Amino acid sequence: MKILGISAFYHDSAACLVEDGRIAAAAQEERFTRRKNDSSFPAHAVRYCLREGGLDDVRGVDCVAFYESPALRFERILATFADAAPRGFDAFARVAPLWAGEKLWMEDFIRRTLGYDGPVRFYEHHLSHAASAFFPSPFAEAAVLTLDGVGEWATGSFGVGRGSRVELRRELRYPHSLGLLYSAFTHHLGFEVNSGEYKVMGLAPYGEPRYAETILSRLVDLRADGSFTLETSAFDYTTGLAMTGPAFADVVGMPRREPDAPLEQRHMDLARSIQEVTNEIVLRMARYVRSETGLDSLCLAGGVALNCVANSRVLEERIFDRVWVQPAAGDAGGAVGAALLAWHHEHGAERAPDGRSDTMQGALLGPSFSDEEVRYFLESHRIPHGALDRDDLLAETAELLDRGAVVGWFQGRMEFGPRALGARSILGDARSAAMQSTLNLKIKFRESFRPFAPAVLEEQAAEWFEVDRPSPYMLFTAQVARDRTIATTPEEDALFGIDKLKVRRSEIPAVTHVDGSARLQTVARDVNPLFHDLLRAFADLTGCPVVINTSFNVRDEPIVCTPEDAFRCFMRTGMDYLVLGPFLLDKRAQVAASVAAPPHEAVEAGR
Amino acid sequence: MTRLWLRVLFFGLVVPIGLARRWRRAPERPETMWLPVDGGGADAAPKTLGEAFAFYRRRRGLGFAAAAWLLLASRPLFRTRSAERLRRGERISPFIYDQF
Repeated sequence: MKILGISAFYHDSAACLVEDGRIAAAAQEERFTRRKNDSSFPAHAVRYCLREGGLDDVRGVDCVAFYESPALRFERILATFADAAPRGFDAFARVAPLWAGEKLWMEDFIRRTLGYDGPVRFYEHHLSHAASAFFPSPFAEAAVLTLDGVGEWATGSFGVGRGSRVELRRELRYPHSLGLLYSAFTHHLGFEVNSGEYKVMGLAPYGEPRYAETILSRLVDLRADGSFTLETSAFDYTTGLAMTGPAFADVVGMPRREPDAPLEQRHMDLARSIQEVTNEIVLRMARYVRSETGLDSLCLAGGVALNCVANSRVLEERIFDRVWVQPAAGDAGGAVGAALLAWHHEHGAERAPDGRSDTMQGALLGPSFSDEEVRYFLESHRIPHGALDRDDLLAETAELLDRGAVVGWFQGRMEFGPRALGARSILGDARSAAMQSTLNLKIKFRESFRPFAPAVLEEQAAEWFEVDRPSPYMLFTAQVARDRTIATTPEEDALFGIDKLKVRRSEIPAVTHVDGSARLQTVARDVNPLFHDLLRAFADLTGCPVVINTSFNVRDEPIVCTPEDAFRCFMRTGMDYLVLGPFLLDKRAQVAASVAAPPHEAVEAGR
Repeated sequence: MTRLWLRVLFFGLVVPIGLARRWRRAPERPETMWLPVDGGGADAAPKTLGEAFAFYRRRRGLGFAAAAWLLLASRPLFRTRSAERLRRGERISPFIYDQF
């Protein structure tokens, strides 16, 4: 049986194909359209999923599952406008036509757009998140906690997953939302809502939580069980066209930072404060969920579950014995959840979790390209390249990394979710003190304060980080192991803000944040053998099993999908080498060849 | 014309519903904000105006259902442009979460 899951029309549209309970394919629309966080109907992602499932068209699909209930969402929107009236007409005038025209009639829209006449099922937004967290998890039974901006009415929920059922018990409702609270601060700090939240998380360690008390006394009325109300008069998001306005600025004592304005200490303090408040809310919720469910395993999903600092606090406090987070925890993962709900709830199919490994297949669920396809691309565009066998490719790449080169790494199936996990990655030497600023400024063209994530051999992770369990999806942080850290001087300790970044704190400074933490990915051989073997080759050469692993894209662009995307990104940045399958491309050779025929122009012409 | 009709709907129906709801609302501070899961109609996807009206009348009362019905009945005014906006993935505002 083939079930097509769809999430669409907010941010991060995606499609997923579940084949007899196995996740056969999943991809975000942005990767195909090259529009970051594309919210349009995921037509390209659907086409890819069908192709991966060996289907010529959607008629081979047995059921389409949509990740939320349009009727309930529209009810919330209309009720919100009524509550805030007479304010909010401008937003109403933009929103109402979309709902009356198409969004409420989603079944009709899906049928028309796909040309599909089979069954269409709708599941609540947070139930889809919960399903995406529980069904692929290694657990036979677990508590489930979902937190995001908002779905229909719910902004967060918890429940229980047991066997092949997941049921929600309680929910928090709009406008009281942890996701929206965090997004409001993201907006006020000058970052883009829906995509800049992780920048706030990265900025937080530079600051002090000076505003935490203010937030808890004037913006958030927090209860002992982690539930809360927001002081909605201080926010603009209920009916305005921005998250915050003058009332919010009055409370925090600073105006919104302009996106290109310099980051000051007060901005870092504000970031630290909202991160501390978020940690506190999530911890209280986790304790409450543990006491209500009595279960010792927890599954997390929803956009807030991408906050790896808060996730790690839940682990550190030992509230649950085991925690598993859906790697595509945002709305894209809703497509997986909806499809799995249709499989387990509608068709009563049983799960068989082994208690050890999940069924997300390392999140490598996207398109792949054969060696022949890559070769054809390179040769048809006369792109200089060398072909290497597996062992030589690994040895050569490890040596390039050791020499300080920045290497684009394009292998196998593309990742599903926001993280690059060794299929569409840019790699660098984590031991290099200069690598963080080199990568940030010459390759990623982004703010220099943000740390990079390390990929480490799973079997050696505990030698380099204070970690006692795998972290395959970069959804937890860990401190760099004590014996790998470097003591700082009193002068270095006295530094403030971005200046802290200049201090070498460990043997792997490029991935060590100013608080000594790292957002790590542990790489297991059975999940991604090639990437694992590359780390092994690097470790054999250097004694260090850690490399920088950052997403293969530049600022404000989605992660690359095809060899062509990868080559284009390679040529536009200061990357030194590109590994496309078994082929190695040297930037210097491209530059020399482009004198005669610029490869990127050739690629453009070939599109 | 479209904007004028939206103004009529907003100030003629949505505003009065909001004022009536505000009148009924009692100030309180519950011990917890964890509420029982609603679940009422999660799988509902109305196919007709009548189904939509019945759904909202059951859940929110006659006034709300009437406002929803009138807005939804205006579909022909909005449909072409709405489909285009959806296809483009147009955001309501770049400064706000996609809660609409």
